[in-house]
Amino acid sequence: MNTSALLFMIITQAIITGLMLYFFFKVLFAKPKVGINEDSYADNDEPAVKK
Amino acid sequence: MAVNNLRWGSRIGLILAMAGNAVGLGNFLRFPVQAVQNGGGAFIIPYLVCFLLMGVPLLFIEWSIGRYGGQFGHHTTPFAFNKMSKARMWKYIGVFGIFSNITIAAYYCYIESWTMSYVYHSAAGTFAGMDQNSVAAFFDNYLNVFTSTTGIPFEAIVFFVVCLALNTWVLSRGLSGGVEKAAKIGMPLLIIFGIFLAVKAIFLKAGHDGAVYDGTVGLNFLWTPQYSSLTNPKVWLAAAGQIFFTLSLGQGSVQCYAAYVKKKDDIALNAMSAGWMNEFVEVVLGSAIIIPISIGYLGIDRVIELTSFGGLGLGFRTMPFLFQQWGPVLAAVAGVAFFGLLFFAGITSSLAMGTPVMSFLIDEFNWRRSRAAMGFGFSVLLLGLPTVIFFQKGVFDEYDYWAGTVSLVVFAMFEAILFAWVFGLKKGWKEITDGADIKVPVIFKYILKFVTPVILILVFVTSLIRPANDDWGKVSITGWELHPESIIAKIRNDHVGPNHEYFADKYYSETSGVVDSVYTCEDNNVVSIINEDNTVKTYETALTNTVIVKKGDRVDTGDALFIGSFINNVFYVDMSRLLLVALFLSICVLISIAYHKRKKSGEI
Repeated sequence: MNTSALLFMIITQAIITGLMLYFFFKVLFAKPKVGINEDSYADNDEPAVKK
Repeated sequence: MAVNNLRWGSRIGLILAMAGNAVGLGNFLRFPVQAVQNGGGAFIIPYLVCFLLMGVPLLFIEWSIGRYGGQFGHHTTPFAFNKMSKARMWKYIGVFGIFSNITIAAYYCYIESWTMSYVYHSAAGTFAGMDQNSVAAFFDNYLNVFTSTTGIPFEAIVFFVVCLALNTWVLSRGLSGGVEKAAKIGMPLLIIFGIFLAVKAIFLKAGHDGAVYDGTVGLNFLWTPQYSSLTNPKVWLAAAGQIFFTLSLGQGSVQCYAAYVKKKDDIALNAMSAGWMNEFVEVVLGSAIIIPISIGYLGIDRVIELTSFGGLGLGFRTMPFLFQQWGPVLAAVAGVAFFGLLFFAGITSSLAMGTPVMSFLIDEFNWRRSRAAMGFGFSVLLLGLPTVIFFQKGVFDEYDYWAGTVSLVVFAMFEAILFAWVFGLKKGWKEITDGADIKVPVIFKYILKFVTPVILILVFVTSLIRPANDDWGKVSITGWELHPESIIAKIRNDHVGPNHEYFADKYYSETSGVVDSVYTCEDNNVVSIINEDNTVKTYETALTNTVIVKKGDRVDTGDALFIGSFINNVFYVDMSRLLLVALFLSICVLISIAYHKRKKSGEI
């Protein structure tokens, strides 16, 4: 590969992979919201609320 | 109003489902072909600019509209739009959010069924020992529903029905029990298959396994920047179009998935996470599979020629042959990985198309979940059968053009205007940032208000009046020749040549040239003509029709080749358009009935 193609590919792919991982990990480690009784996700319900 | 108790199981599940909605066949088949046709590496720059100025804002808009509508029990766009503005027209604009999904699903499930069939054929070793022409002919035979490649009669229809039944079954299991589970299985497998194939492609060595060039030759071709193409409007339009397809924007499915998110929960970070996951699959994995492998075996010129017929041709007519060069075991593994990857990409998208239709039937007509899923499956079957049976008559392409291209642009343009100018950016911005787990940069306020609507209007207007050969220099106030794919030329059927009557007793040549051969093949009379530009055009007709030219004859466009009884493709094209218009109007009637029901019960 020529240098400009290699640089262009590596920089673009690194930015995209980096941003994808950044946002994904931000979701994974997001703190639960305080003061919300029931959120959008059934897995977070108290056992009695689950149907 | 029915109680719609669909819910997401987990936030990761929602993001994977939303990413699965965006990641489709286009990530692996359309994106690399668009990049090759639009300047290789230089395509990436307009592509990323369009992603930031059009893709990201539209993701914010669609997630916000969805969550906003969901607060009032509206999980589809017609009533979400109605809630955003009192003007009566908006709920009918919202009809596109249901219409596009049914219509796209009708042909998309058909392509999905090809991938399912090709997984089977790859595992069964059907392609072993075939040369390139035989693999291409296998695909052509597969598309002809009256021939069978496996001994199963009407094989293409059987695989289509099985694929549709699978979609219907998953949908009937609901969001957390069906769609989300499919995404949790499909997305990781898709990424693993993608990484395996990308590694094989990148490390392809000239002289090994029949490869002529290294895999890096393809990457070099794809990633060498050609800055001169940045000034070409065609490249920018192609980049904007790709962003639409890849993110599944303007379709109504993002809004529907987001409608099941509660008011205080985040949508901004979710939108970014799903959006960038799609970009990773498209730019990092999608660019590293079919182009490096096909250039490694066929060379750059041949691949450019093959990509002129689109990514589907390259994927289904060529890739199975190239995998055979890796030996029987690896060929089977690579074939299963490649078509399995396409299958998972396809099914996670088609499920997203089914959810708005299901939600509409549950919300407005009190249907149970399983009945609503069956309703979707049955509608898609009815609408899809013409694309399967009359695929070679142009029905598939008509669905794709009107529902999969034009509708998306029109719908996205209107929703951007509705969100920023009618609903108001003040309220809109609050919708985006309420409960957000990230700080959305303020610059997006201005992009949402001015840049995105202007870009969308430009994309729509240029699609209307696109000049022939994409030569924008020819555009003048005195008029210009239109591109056959421009909306106006399509409506006028400009691309239809001398065979413009629905029913005819003669079939005319569509090109000028010399008759190269006349023969009989599989119950058909075949005439092959070498055109003036040295390309070959082949005409086939049933044996009951008579050939009236012979080898060596000179024919001009409009000269008769056969006499007999003919139904021309333009008939099927116009009938499919009528069908789509009838479908759109039927959904409008259903919306009107549902609206009056809600009004009567005091819900509106």
